[in-house]
Amino acid sequence: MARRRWGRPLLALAVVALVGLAIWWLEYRPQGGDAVGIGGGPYGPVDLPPELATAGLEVGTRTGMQAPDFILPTLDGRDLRLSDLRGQAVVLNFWASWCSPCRREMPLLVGAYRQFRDQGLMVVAVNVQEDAESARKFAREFGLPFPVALDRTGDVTNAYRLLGLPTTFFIDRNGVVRSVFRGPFVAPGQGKDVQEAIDEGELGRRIREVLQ
Amino acid sequence: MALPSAKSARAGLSLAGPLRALWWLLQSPRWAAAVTGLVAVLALLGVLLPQLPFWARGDPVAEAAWLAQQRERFGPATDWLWRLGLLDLFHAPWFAVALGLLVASTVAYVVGRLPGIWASIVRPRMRVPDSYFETAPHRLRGEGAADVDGLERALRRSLYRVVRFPEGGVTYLFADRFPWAGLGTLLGHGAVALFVVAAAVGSAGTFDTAFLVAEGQSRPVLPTVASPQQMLVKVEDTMGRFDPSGVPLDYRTQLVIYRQGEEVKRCQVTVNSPCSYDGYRFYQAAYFGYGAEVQVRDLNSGDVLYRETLALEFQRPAPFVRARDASGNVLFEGAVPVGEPLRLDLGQGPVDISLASLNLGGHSYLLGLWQAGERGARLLVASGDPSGGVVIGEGGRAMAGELEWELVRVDQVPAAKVTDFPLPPAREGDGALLQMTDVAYGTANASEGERVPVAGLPGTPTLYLLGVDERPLVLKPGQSAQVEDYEYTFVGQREFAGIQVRRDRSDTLVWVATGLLMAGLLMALWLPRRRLWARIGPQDTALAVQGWPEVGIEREMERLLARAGVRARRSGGEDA
Repeated sequence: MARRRWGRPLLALAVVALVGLAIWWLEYRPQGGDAVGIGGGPYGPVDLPPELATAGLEVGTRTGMQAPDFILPTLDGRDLRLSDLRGQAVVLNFWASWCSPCRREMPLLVGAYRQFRDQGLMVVAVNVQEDAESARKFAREFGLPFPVALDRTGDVTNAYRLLGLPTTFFIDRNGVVRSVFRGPFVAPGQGKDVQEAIDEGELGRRIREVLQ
Repeated sequence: MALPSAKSARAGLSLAGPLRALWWLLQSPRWAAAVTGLVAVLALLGVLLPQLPFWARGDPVAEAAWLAQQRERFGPATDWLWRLGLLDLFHAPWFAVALGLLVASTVAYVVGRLPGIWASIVRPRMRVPDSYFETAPHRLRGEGAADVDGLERALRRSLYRVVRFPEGGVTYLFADRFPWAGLGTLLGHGAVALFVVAAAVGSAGTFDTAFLVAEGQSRPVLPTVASPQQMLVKVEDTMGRFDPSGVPLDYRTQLVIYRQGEEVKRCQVTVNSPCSYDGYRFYQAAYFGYGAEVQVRDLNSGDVLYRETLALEFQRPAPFVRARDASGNVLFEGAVPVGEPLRLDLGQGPVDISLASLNLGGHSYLLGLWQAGERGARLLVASGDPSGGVVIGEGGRAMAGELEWELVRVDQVPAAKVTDFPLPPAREGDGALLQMTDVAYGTANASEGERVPVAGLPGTPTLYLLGVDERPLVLKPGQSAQVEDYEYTFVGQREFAGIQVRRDRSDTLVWVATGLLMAGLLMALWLPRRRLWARIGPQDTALAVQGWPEVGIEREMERLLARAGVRARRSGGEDA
């Protein structure tokens, strides 16, 4: 008798519970993927060592300012500090493998590095927020001969106030930003090879400027 | 919903003015029915008429192209359909207004009815006049005095709460069961309003983006370059499964989501089974199997100049030809991609002809395809001077050189014109034309799906690169060809997954509304409220019941009387 008395309310409760369970399952069930924690490291923007700071020059990303210093891990397992490159002219290029214009201009940066490295040019390619595997695959495909730094958190990218990719900073031997180029350098092809594209284009002109 | 009387409406108007009138209008069932009908008709139109796809919204060029397609279907009516907003109905302002009116009407109904329902729950009418036992829609009489205790026990067993009012020789009972069920209908109405609100919140505050990603590649989700919340979606593998007639059965993609360079989620998505991370949902929205990964290398420096996975998103006609030697042996059978059309005069007036060349048996043959109006496709085959060639119609055969040629049909092959494709420095041009034959959706090479040939013969895909050399470069996966100092490599066929990423802040509202609707329906239909009044006199017993749904009320009254030891009698005097 008690079963009959409470049967309908209990059935209603069971239906509500089943619906709730179905909603939970649809909404929050495990997706079969493994969530992985985000790691961190002592990387990102850092203060310029006092002995390298030039009196009267602000630290910033505009032309004529001291380039913001940073430490980032590189693909070959080392740490790269921008200020350690003082004395060399630096082409600091921000890129990502998903960025098609970055892919198109990268052969020019490779060619320019080969052409000007003996004159003291260093190219640093900062990969923005990608995993090391994607960056490594890209570096292997394009045979990047220069250091590839990994800005996983995007902190260095933000410190350089990027609006889009690719963006390239030309930093002279004193660590001063001489120019900023937003967008891709014109790719070779259609009647030009890499050498011509560098020599006749913006890239070569700006590199010569920082090498002076 | 009770319609306010004209008298009270007039009094309200004089007291509170237009706002009061609006309030009554919103509570009016006729108004609610009209608004519901309007929304239903609009929604039906939105389903029946094609709607502007999400990828074209905000892009004037894509929008114009889509409208041009609709003009083929609707003709001159397209423009006024567009101007009325009927081709983007669910984003039209007046549709939002209609939904707003529906919400307002529903909320007004709920708010207006709540005090009355609440009062009937906490302060139910326990006494009714004796005349009610003669006029109630659901009533039953029994001969003789019922056992009051027995009737009360039977009521309590049926989950009624019972109040007894003895009055002289007569006992009155009031019994009430599931009084809260009266709120069920309000919950249902509230749920409807919440659904509409959720839709409004969803359309206003939803993050929604979609992109195509090739296998092995990734795309950022957010537009900001280096947001701490930025995520990268990498497609490790994607596949499409099709039935033998080419109808898609399933799209499936193995995704990896990265944040700040770290893998945070690895999952498989399908069209109906998204992957969730941090409030974002990743759906498989599309599949595209005609991709080619190509590489160009400068042999002097050894440097890679170009490496891209290109979507061959257009289709170009390609003659499917069969060539036999004098013994009837088939020397060639397949689709031959042709170049871009040139205007040539073959003796019967100028035609726009697309040329290709084919080397067979040590001889070079020139093939040219053009459309001869209503007569269909025509193929020119020449073993030397084009003017000395033969022309074959679709299905026709002719001898050219030492071979018999047959134009079996005209296939469509996937193609892409790439204007920034690196050409050898000495060559001038406007890029390269890529075409792929023997390509299939879901080949064993490219995915785990069924083999469904789309163009040419199923087998290993073949890439035709036109424009980088005098002759097309014909490459199988992994093959390279050298032109001057450049090496061109077809790395392989790649598939693309169309991934849609959504963050819908209305999710919670939808679930709450669903819960309310379910609870409301259950309360109203499974736990129906019943109120029973009984008058037990020395000569007879009378019952009156109110409740909805009305199914089973009569039977319940008979059962109660039987348990109280009284034989039920219908109003006409017959035994129940």
